[in-house]
Amino acid sequence: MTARARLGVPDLGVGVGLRVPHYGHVLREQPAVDFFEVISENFLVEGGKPRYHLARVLESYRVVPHGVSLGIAGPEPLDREYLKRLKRLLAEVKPPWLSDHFCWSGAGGAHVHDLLPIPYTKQAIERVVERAREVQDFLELRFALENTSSYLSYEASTFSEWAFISEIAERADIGLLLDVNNVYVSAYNHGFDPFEFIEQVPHERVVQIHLAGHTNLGAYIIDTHRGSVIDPVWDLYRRTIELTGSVSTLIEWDDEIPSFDVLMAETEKARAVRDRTLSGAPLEPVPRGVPTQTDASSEHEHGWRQGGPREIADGAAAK
Amino acid sequence: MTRLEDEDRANEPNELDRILLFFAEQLGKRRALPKDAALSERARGVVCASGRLSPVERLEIYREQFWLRHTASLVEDFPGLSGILGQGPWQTLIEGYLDAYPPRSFTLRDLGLDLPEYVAAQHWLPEHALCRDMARLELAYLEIFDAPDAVPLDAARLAEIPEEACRTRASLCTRRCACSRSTTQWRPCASSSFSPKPAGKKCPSPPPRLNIYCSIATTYRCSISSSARARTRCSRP
Repeated sequence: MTARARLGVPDLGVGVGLRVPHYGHVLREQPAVDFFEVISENFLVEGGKPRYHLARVLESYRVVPHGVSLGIAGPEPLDREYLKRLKRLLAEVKPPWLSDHFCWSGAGGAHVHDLLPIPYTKQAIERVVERAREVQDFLELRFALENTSSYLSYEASTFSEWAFISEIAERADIGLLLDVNNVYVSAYNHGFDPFEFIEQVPHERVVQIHLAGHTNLGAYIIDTHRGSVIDPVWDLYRRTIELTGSVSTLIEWDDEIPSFDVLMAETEKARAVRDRTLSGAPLEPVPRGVPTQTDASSEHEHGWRQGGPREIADGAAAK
Repeated sequence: MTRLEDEDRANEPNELDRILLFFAEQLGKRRALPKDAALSERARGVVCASGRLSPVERLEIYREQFWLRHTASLVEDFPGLSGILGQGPWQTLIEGYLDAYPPRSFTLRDLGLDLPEYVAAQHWLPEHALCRDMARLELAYLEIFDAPDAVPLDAARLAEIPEEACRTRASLCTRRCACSRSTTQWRPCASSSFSPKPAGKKCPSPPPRLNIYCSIATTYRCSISSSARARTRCSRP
């Protein structure tokens, strides 16, 4: 692991999203994972099992919280109570940064628990810049926003997604969490070249990278976080590392969660790609352009649902 | 322009919010979005077609996901209740519940907070008394799962506290549920009988018998005691 800092945050190496089925294994076996990412909302509670397990994990590992409920672009103002609870969690976890998503999550007081796409307009940029600054100032911690997967685009958009998130990151002075799988999913769904996205964002602002599997339904891809990372996403990751240098990288797996050994194999693959790219070894050229259905190796039936903050319920029936 | 007209204009949603509100309106619809001319035209004004999908079909992905996510979350939280009802009545119950109580919290943990109250008012439910007890008991499990740790109260004193006052007068980590049947013992069978198929396996109803359950969170465990087995004594695990 290198200690190179960007925007004041270190490269933590290659980590894994910590999920309930692995708590026992992680605490018992102490696997060699560089860091864990946790879903912030699962730990915005007063006590009980979630906080107990988090405290034990913190004894041995670096932990970075990743939010799914901020809804930074929504019609309503930021939820101050949510931010206060988040700040209390950060005081315990002491992470080097905190992240959430470029999205909105509800309107009219309702919360839909989804990462809904934003129209890429000037008005949306102004709103997200102002709120991202507010969040970063209030939490007194480097804040990063992640590009989401999306299944629709808006007539009103006047920017590309990469231009939109780049302008916000620069003007709000925040970090980017670059989800390489999400770039691929959106490229497939909207018909753009994912390499153009990767090459156009401000690389010095990328503080973390996400990698995950997805589900290709033919007409569109759903970001299920199910299955292994597919080869075209590994190619994108390699190109990302070429441009960004060493950046904390995380494997997400939220549906049909496998044994921890399978996750470890994915982290080792990420480490190998990262190390080889950073070593300057000659790399094979990869095909570019809009992803097609034949690129995708992960075909599944319907029945998906996107991973979210619900995991605390897995143990709710404990007796 | 009058002052009132000025105020009206200030309160109007801007262009960005008009788009988001149109989107949000589609998410809450119970059934698949119609591909009729009216909605298609409105959707075309907001959402781009993809070449493979129309604007309405792209909105439908999110609408379907909204219902799948929230229904699945409630099945996870209320396995006994969903098991008693089986697929059809459960789906009807949950659609009505989400209409009456749209999710408002940032966390799905809070999604079922009002479900026991809603179930109590749904007299059409089969085994209504059992459903009511199961919903209350399963919410108690949920609430103590991430409640702050505390030393449980003396069992005798706990039994004297009315159920509705237990949360505030006992401790945040304790819930008391008086049920008319052996609800906890029956719960594993009910949970396993829930199936997406219309005809799920049926469990025999538990015999009527007053049981008082005390759910207690201590350190990191949730435990449960019943009056039938422990004579109203709630003990640490």
